[in-house]
Amino acid sequence: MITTLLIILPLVAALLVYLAGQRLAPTVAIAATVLEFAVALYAYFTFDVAAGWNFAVNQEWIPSLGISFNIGMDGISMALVLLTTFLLPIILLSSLLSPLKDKASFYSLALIMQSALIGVFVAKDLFLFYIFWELALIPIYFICLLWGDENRRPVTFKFFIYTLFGSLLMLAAIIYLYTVTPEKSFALENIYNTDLSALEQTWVFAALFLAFGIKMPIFPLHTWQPSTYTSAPIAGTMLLSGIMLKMGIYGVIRWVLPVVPTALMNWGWLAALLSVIGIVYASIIAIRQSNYKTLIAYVSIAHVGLIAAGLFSNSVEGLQGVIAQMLAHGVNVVGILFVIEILLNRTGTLEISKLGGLRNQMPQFAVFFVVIMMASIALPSTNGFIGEFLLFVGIFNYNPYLAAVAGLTIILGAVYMLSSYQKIMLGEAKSAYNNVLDLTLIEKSILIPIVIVIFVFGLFPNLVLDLTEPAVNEILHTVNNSIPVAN
Amino acid sequence: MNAIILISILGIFTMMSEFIGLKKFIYPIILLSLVGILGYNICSFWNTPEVHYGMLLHDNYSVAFGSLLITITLLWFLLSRESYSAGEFNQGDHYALILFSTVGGLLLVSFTNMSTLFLGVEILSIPLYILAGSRKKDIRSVEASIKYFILGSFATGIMLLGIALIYGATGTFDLAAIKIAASQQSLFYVGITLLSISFAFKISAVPFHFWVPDVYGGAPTFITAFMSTFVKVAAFGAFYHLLDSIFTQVPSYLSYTLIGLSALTILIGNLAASYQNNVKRLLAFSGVSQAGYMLMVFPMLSVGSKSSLFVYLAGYAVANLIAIYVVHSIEKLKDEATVENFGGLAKSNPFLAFVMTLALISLAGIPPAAGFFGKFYLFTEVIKGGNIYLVLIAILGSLISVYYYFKTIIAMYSEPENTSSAVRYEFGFAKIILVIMSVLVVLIGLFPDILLQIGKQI
Repeated sequence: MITTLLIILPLVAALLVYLAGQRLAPTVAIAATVLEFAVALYAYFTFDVAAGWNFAVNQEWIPSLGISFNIGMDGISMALVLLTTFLLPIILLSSLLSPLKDKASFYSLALIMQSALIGVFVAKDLFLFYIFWELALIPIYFICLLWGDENRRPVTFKFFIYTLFGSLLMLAAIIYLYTVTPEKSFALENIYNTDLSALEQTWVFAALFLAFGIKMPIFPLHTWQPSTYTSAPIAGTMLLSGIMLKMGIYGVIRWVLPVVPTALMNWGWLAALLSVIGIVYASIIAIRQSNYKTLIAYVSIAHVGLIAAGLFSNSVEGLQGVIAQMLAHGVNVVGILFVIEILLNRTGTLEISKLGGLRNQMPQFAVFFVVIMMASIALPSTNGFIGEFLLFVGIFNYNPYLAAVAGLTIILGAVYMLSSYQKIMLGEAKSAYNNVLDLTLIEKSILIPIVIVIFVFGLFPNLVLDLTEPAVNEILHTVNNSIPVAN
Repeated sequence: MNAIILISILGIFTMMSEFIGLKKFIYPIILLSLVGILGYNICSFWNTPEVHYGMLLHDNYSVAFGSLLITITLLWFLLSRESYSAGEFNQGDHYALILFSTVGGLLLVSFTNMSTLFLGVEILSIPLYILAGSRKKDIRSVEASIKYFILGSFATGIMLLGIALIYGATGTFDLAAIKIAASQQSLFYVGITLLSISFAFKISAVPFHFWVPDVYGGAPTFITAFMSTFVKVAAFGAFYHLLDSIFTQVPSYLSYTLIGLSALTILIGNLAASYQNNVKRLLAFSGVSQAGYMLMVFPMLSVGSKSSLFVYLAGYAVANLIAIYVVHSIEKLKDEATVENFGGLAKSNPFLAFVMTLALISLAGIPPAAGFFGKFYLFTEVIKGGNIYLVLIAILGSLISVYYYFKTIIAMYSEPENTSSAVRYEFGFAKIILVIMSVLVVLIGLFPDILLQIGKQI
């Protein structure tokens, strides 16, 4: 029941927000997302790790095609639902900083998007998964189109075409999987039970990998991402990078690894290799960026590259690292984007060369900025560390050379993050910024929860890792059971 | 069969209403009668199949497609009311012609004899030749009419020749008898090929689509709405019924031809549409490409393919009616419905922009709209039939189609408002109908099971 509630609550809220009118819309929307987070927390505290799938609902939907409204949460879903519900209030609050036209529509779209995102994370039916997957695309498209900067039209168009291309390939793969299930059903168990030849698996893997790889994005499918992140409104970028790219990673865990294990054995190396190339490539480009938001877009590609490499490592450590890093990345990237929003709000520019010496005027801001930055370069005791550590263990076991190259991310990450911090916050104070103000109350109320989560999760990672471990083992069990024994 | 008779009577009555002084009441009379006939038709869904006079077959297939056709006519009447308030057109004549065309459509989905097929095609088309040219002073309307008439009669001629050759090979006009007598004679196959060509013309499949943009573009827009939905449903219903009745399995040469036609239609229709700047012509080409998707299931002749065709057509018809209605509204204020003229519609008239977006999303096949489920079901059936390559081509086509559908959406939502272009609408009749149709689009998309159940019974 709780799972259904988590999907429906934002939808109802979206309607209420739209009816509430421009003035009340933000309040209603934020209240609704906080309530949603409370429901998710309640689910987390009543979650029974030993039971596997919790809060499951299975309702017939289109019986003649074997489609059902089949949802539930295992540990992985629970973790991602927590991430989504935690980030949404923060994202909506942060959008209060810059005045938006037509607030009611904006908040409604964001809430519809939340509903779809949660749907993606809890769907146990492949068709349902696809519906939510596509539903999440429409609100974010309109958010980018209506509230983006002056380049938005070609940029959002490219974004839409890219992701839709992936989705359509996924649709073909989904239908194909459906036709080979003996029961003619889209249910998770039946999809896991398909008996595909190696060749069929390769094709299904290719289609799904393209779909999920575009969403994440993995090199060389990433070209839509920097421009979209740069031209989207800040809340849109937060939704995209904080939550939406996790859809792609989650999709691989849930619908690729257990479904096409043989293809993974044959082609996983290629995916891992591409991911690692992406890390180095994006890091090097990030170092050369002059616009801080674009820089963060490339940093995001680098981080995702590491996560993606872990996905294909086929080990508990690797997958646990993927999940931990997904959560950490979600929180940290939203934090750093909020930092960007504050910078833009105070100085009117994101060109790194035009900024400098802000620390004197904004000491509190400087502290928060440092903490979030350290978390995103994975300093021990922050949330970024545990995920990155596990990922490296997983990748190292898979292939030490790959791990060595991926390890460059530690050095390169420090280079681009620290040097940009230095250029923005330290150095000679620029006279133009003599009068900028430090953090306001509302900004603190956003940054404090983020910093709390960074440390809590950094110091007590087991809060989540214990939750997800059985689910990860279950997935790996399915994977290794269905690989034919080589003889 | 009763529906056919009743609508014929209604048509004649409408024609006479002019001089028996019932002109004012004819509109509500037509609406009420159509609702009644639709209800009656739906109720006869479970009746046992029967053949009337060796000419008409009354079975679930004909009832389902017939009901769909009557629904489209009903929706057309509801939406087109305002177009006649200006007095430019003679209301009674138009209504009567549309009703006669409806009779033709009904004949087409229930024929069991080649002569009924021919009659149906003629009764469907002749009123439309007239209606396409009903804007007599507009040269493009006249061009549309003449083009449609000449090419239409050409196609009918080919159809007649095909029927004649089949008669020559089998000695009968009756579909059931043809199925038994079907032999390996080349004469028979030439006949079938000619028939298929004439149908390819009617459903506007490439390379028989050249008339579509000019005719759809030149005819008055509310007539285009009827042509692009009703005629398409009727022609698809008839073509499928024909193949289904005379073959248990489509002969391989025809099957490959149909697959090739379908792939060509999808690609060329979508590519041509993406070059259009006039939304009316854009929708015309998009209609061509939609025909390509539907052709994909023809080679299979299974229960699933029949049912997916029906579901797809239902979703397509509703969404297309909405889209063309919005084009019509734009044209009322500006001469042409170019993409630029849609600029800022979201500001000047959010409601119209919203329904247009929904319709275009449905045509593009994105959830949760009806078009998505239609496409999904269609693709499922085609993959089941083993044509995964065709589905990949269709996916490529869908991707191209997103480009031009979203070109319009982007224009509506992001161009600065042009103050002179504001389309103001009174909250009225058409708005209610549009709301109902939009809800229908979403409902079919989210809860397609009812339609699916019907589809599986036909």
